Amino acid sequence: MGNSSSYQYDENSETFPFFLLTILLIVTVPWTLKIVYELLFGNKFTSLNDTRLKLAGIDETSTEDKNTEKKIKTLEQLYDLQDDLKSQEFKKLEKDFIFKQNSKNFTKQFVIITILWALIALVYNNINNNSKIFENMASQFDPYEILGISFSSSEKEIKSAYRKLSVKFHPDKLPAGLSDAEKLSFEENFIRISKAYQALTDELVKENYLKYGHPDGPQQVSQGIALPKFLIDNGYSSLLMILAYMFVFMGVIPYVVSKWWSKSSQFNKQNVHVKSSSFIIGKVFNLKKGSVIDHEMILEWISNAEEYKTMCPELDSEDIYRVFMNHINRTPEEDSISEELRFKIIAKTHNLIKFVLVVASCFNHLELSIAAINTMKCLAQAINTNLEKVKYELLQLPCVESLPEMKESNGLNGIKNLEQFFMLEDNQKLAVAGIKKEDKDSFQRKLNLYTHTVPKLQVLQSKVKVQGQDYVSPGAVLHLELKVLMTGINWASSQKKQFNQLFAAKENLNKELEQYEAIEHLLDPHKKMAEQELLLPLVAPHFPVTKDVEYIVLMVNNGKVLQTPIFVNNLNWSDNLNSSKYDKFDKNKFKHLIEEQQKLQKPLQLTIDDIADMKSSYLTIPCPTPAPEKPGNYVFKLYLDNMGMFGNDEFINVPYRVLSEDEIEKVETIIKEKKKLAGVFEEDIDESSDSEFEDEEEIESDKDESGDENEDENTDSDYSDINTDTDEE
Amino acid sequence: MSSNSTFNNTEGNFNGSFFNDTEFNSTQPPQYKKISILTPIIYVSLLLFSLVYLQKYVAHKKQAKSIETPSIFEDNYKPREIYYAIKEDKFESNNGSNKIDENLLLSALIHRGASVIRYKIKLTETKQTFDILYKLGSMGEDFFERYEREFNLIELELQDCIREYAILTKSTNAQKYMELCQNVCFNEAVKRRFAFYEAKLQHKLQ
Repeated sequence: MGNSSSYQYDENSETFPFFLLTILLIVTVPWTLKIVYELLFGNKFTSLNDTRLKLAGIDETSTEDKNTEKKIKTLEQLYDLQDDLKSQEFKKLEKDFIFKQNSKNFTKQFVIITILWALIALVYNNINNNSKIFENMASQFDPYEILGISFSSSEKEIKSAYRKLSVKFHPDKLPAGLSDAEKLSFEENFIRISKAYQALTDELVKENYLKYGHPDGPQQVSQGIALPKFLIDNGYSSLLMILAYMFVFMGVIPYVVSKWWSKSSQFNKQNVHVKSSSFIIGKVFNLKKGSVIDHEMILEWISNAEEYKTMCPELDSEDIYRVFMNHINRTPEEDSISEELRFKIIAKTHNLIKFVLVVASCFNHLELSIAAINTMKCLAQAINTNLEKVKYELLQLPCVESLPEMKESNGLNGIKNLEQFFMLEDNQKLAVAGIKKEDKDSFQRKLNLYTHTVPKLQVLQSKVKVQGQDYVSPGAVLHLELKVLMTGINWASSQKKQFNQLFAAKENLNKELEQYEAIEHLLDPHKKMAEQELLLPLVAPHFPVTKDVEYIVLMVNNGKVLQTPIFVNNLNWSDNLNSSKYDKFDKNKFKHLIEEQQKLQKPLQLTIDDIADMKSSYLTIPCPTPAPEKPGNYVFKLYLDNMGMFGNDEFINVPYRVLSEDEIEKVETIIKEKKKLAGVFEEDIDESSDSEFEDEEEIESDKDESGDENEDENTDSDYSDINTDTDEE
Repeated sequence: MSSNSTFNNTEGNFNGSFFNDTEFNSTQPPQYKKISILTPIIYVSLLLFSLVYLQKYVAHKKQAKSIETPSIFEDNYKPREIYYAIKEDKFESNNGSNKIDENLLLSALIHRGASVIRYKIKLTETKQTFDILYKLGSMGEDFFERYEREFNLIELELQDCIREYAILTKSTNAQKYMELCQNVCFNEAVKRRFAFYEAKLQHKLQ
């Protein structure tokens, strides 16, 4: 500092307050606006129900979505059922959890904001009371102010103002009897007026004024430090100042940055602690062929997660594992572990298991991937498939805590899964689920709610597609498109083929597919999936928090997973679960319907009316590799499952044919001819508007036929339901 | 009349302090202070020394940490330990004599070599997987470094095996040793696979 002796200090606090004010305003104003915005429009916790609906992706204020009412109805039924079945402790803890997550505590922020505004007021007051600042401002040269005219005045106005003032202050026209001092001030004023006039009219002076802010040209410029002198130039306080700077630049800033960095590098992209991720990857890496891979092994892995060590340092991994096992065995917890801890431990599993699944699929490990999905199901439904080896699916039903021993004689011993369960008559259902007679009504009510709130995915059709092309050429970029239907869990699943035809017919009739011909859909084949409804939460009363439903698609080849799993949670459900023909398709009733038809020796015919208010969905999956270069028949194999519920797993085969060049030429000519034909027809239509409607329909049916032919040839698809769980056993 | 925009020109006020006013009305010539030639040298050498020290310190810490971190293989080079344990005569031989059974040592070395080959195959097989996981952001920096380190460790281990083989058999035919190890490795793999299917079959029969 010794050498920069020409610096001046802000001894009169002329600059520093402005500096301070600016910084304060930069921080305070946006913050205040943000708080006001959040108070007005933010997530306020009004009621549990509203918050839950919001979490399920329903915006009650929007009237655009016609399905909102249906959705709300179903969701309310779902929460009703779930609350009914959930344990009191978990219910209370979940409510607290949702409340905490969705209501913000503004008190702290309010205090800080108030202090900041008080500081601003103080600084502002300081500026207002500082006469030096105003003196300084007064000494600024402003020709408009001197002449008393506005900034937008014309030359004429400037001239007249100048004339008036110069008459008043001209040295030759001074009033008599003035003292010397007064005379001097009059003269000074006159010079100012002249300068101001010149600054606005004379070219040279005007340039000076614009360039340097003064009509006389450049003025003295001095640099300074915007701090009062005593802070810097006094031995003691200058030392303090340096220490403060050091503290901020060498202490606070590095500390904050390193804290932020370590926090952000502690968790990986999937929000799993880095140590847990290393542990899991290491375990998968070292997994020996032939070792038993099941949910117990994965639970043991994740019980070692770093997350639990920070969450409950008093518990070791064995304790955590015991919590998991007690949960899935549905045995009560020992007293040493509180319900709250249990709630937290089990709620945390979702993320970790999803990570195990991602790692397993990266290692192409199909068995482990399926085991990871099953682990999530076990935890969500509180079922240990090693304990109840055969009929575990039935434990998912409401009110069923444990399954009764079945007598061999009554013929219900073979009922193993939900498919079979819903085929039964009502009293048989009671027997299989082990419900006492006095609980019959409550069970039936809950079962009814259950069937109306738990959707099941049914694959209608699967296709390998190339965007913008009706056939698969060698080396093309492929994606898979599954046409699926979200139905109630008790829906008849035997009529997929008929459903598929009905939906195709209905779509043609209503021209529903036209919306997918827009440019953005052509550019991105996966867009139509994203546009579908968000799935409703899972009915899992044993799981602490409300869990989202996620469908998982794994591409499988030769017992290996080909790419990272695809998670799907956008599928249309609200129309189907509230369809008017819902009861007709109940498995049990449908069975009777078929039997009646068989007695009459008529095949069962479904009509478009049956599915009029239903909606199918699309599930698109990018393929990991382009189509093979060699023409021939190939097949993709998919594993589709629900991450949270047993009884949804299936392997789907999607065969496709890569065409050779000759075949492509043939197909192209056929398409061209069709187009030509269509073009001719269109011209005709323009001429004769009477026959418009018929012709169009003809063209459409033509096109459809050709499309169908192609499908049959190239992408004839069939799918096989293989319940892997039972298959393994 | 002063009319600069930010400060009043009140320089005169500061002339009384120890600052020299050199900007405007100063007539004094600038003063120079003699400093020793050693000053910059000392300064630079101090700086260099501290930097070198810091670098050494960091490298030492890193090395200590890398020695502490275990291998990503679960058995953590156990065959190597076994081999050296036998070599240093920590296992008592059956006949009570202190002389190390050379055949035993050789078989331990082959076992070690076979495990190195198994490690190597596994590492190269999973290279793509680790890259994907790293790109997905699933893996921490630490673990990826551990994985990369493993390649170097394997190389060193292999060289060590070959050296030991040369000492033990007094032959320089490393190729033969490598082939032997490879065969052992594959045979072990076949054995494991067989055991796996056997177990699966038993499981199904139950």
